[in-house]
Amino acid sequence: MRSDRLDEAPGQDLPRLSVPPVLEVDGLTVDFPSPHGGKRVVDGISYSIARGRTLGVVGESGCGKSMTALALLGLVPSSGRMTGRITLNGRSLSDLSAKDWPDVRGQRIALVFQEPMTALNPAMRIGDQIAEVLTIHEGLRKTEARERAIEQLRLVGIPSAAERAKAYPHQLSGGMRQRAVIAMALACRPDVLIADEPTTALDVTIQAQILELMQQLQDEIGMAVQFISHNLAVVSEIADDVIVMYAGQIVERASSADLFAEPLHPYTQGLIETLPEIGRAQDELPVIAGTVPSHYHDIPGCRFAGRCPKADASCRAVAPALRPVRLGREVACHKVS
Amino acid sequence: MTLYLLRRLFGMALVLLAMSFVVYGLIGLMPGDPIDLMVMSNPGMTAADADRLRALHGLDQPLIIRYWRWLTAALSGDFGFSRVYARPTLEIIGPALWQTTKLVSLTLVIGSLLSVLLGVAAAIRPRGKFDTIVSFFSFAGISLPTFWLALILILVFAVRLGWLPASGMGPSDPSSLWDSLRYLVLPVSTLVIANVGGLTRFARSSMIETLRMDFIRTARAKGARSARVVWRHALPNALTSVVTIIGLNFGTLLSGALVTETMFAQRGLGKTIYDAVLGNDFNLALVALLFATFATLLGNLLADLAYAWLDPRVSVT
Amino acid sequence: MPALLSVDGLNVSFPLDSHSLLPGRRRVVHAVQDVRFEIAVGETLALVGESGCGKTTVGRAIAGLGKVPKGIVRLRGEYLSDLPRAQRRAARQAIQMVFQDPFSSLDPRMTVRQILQEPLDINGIGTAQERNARVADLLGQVGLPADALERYPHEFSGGQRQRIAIARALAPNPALIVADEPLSALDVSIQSQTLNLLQKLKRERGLSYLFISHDLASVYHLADRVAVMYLGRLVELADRDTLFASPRHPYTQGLLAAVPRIGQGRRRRTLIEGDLPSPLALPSGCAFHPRCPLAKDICRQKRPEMKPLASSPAQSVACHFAEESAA
Repeated sequence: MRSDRLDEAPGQDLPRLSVPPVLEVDGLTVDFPSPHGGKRVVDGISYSIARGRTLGVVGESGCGKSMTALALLGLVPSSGRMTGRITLNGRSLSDLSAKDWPDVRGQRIALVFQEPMTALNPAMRIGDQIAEVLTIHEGLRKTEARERAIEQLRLVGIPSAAERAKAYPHQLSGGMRQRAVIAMALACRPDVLIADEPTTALDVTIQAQILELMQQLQDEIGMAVQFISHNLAVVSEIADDVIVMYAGQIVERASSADLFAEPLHPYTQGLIETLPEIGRAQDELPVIAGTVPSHYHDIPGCRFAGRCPKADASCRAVAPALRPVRLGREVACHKVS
Repeated sequence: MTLYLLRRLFGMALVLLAMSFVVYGLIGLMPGDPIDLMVMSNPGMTAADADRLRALHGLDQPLIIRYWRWLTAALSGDFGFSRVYARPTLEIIGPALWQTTKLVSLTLVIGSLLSVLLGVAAAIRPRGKFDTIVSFFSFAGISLPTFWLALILILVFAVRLGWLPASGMGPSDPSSLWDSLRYLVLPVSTLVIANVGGLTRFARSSMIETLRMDFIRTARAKGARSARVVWRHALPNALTSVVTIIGLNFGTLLSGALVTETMFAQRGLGKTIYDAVLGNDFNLALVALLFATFATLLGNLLADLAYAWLDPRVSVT
Repeated sequence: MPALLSVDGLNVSFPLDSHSLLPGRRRVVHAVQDVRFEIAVGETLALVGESGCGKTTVGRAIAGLGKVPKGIVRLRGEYLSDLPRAQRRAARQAIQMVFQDPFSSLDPRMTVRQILQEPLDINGIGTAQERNARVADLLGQVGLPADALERYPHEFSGGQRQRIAIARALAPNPALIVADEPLSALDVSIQSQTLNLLQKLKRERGLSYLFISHDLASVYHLADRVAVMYLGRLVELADRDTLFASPRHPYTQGLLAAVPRIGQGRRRRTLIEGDLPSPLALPSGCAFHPRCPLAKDICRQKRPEMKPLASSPAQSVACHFAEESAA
């Protein structure tokens, strides 16, 4: 290895503090105003991801995970309002006008959705859908773009790629479709890939294949990945760092190893304990009582207090801030010292 | 594909056969026959004359035998005579069918283009200003009675302004294309206004539904701009359901343009069937109805083929 | 233990070209072939496998939904297919079903009371008063408040709706509940609440379950025995601990290896390669051979029969190399 790269050579195994993050999110908030008071779905979250790293985002449905993903691409529905700062490679995205957003989407920052069946245009050939990204962003001509699309399909391990490029989405299996979606997302070698529950709709053996593929492509391309999932086990296997979201806020942040070895926030603890586990016979699973509240932005105090076994009066009165508790760990809970 | 077409044509033949039997049977069950009509109009005829005539025309035979004779003749291309016009039915139906086809095709082409354009434009911002205006006129078009609409158009464009002929089908040897087309302008406009409202509403809701789908979000996440998202991604998918409706409209319009045809004195298929039924011209009514049925079935077949062409998930095998 | 339900030689096939006037080759999908298992009173049998393997079809066939399957289905020793229509319906009361999606499986125009009472009315259970009391009782059993009765499904969360669906299944007092992926539409924390409810009902009422799921962790938690299906056939059947500790079919082994687990970190996974083949063109011999790491010539030529292992007769495996393939 050449050692003239000061930021890499000595720090290979240390946390990559010296590497500037590719994506920085600061105080991201998404509101859906309405005459009846509206709803704040994402409430001031901040995080960053470095090149080649994977950030896992976990939480139950309705906690704001998916809206965060849409906000990063400027795709918040027109009835919503986004505030806060998003910075990609030092360039601010949050100030982009509606006219400039399309140049970034699919080019520097790309998205993979949950449902590979519905995420692809049913009336368009797979190859054309991938080629479209290249014609839009790289100005390639049709034949060139088609060639590149076939290369992309090869890259994601689709056999007889030239033939499959002519297929329509319904002619492929679920796993192949998700590979095609990934091929499309990575066509322009983006800096950031946002994967929103990319394996949730897939069978376990296919899920394992897709996770393997994503890791392998990340090693090759080096993009930062934001991996959103409700499946903690999947996140534990793919993420370097994890943020846990509850009711629109981050309640815990840690490296994946630390978080799953010793979760600190009662919500994280509950999420992990409540999972059935192969090899551990139990009569009854520990549960998190209740459900995620649907309107949460006006709850005074800690939003999890209503479901928390440790909550007391102070939890219900004062909202805990996300604060560092140990090296590299942050928790939003009064009960963690 | 060939097999599919053969299967569909075979099915259409079956429907036509069943239809001819039902209509023939219904007419046969009606009290009175053509000879009774002749007796009524000619007091000098005796009962014996009538029976002789019945035997001559085969009307004394049981219904099923008469139907069989009619059917074998029809299959060899002989569709019989019209009683009122005393001419082969095909000679009456041919020009009527041509007239109606011109009317309906123009209506469908103009109406479909207009509805899809308006529907798409309205769907881009549901409840927006443009959508509100389009919705208002759509509902107005749906609610206006056709005869009233036709009257207003005649009053304004033929009587008041004198731009267009009020009625008729034009000279039999038109000197220019415009000479024959100008007679179609008002009837086509009437039909377009009457039909475009419903189709626009349909195109709009189909488009709104499509624009909500995941693959639209994917297209935007790819960096596609709005125009591309709408025309390249959403429209082809939204069209699939629209063409089905257009195909169905085709059939309805063919035989259902009666009011318009009457108002503008166009001898089309609808008017021919109507007159034939009222005038007890049974054979003409029967054959004209069969042609209308055939055209309707053909419209549906074309719609299905268009559907399969637009939506690769539908296979015609 | 007497078998509550026993199934033998169960076959379900669907014609592909259903309405063709012209004669010709009729293509048929064999969705379920030669499936055989028993469920004892108070026992939970889990049926696992990937989507498209036929597990849902088995469940529906047993619950009497859809086409009448070929094969023998015996309930408490009685041949269901031999019973006259009316009696068969009565017998079917004993088997109820809970579906995957609680959002579409409940009629949005019916109140919870109507939903719960309908099966009682249809099957003519009890007097009006008794039905009323029973409906209220059912609600309590699944842990819903009494004021839920007059409300509509859309007023409830997914987890609560699944409770309503379970209460409805319980209404005719069944002996067996076929639960088809009852957790997969629910959030993590709601899944475990629902699992606990199923467990509690089993304990209290001596219910049996046919638990159809692709989630092996929930299967481990709930099941007494586990049957693994691949492309319409059972490939392995054993009690839970045996199956999870020493799976013998290479497919079962691959399935278990693919399950993500907390605490393993980023890892290389032993992968089952490729996709499920089309059920229209089933591979020759053992249907799993194109994806199997152990496949030999015999696997391409001869289909292995499901048979008990010599070394542990309670474990049946359909693999030519079952005796030597201990993981």
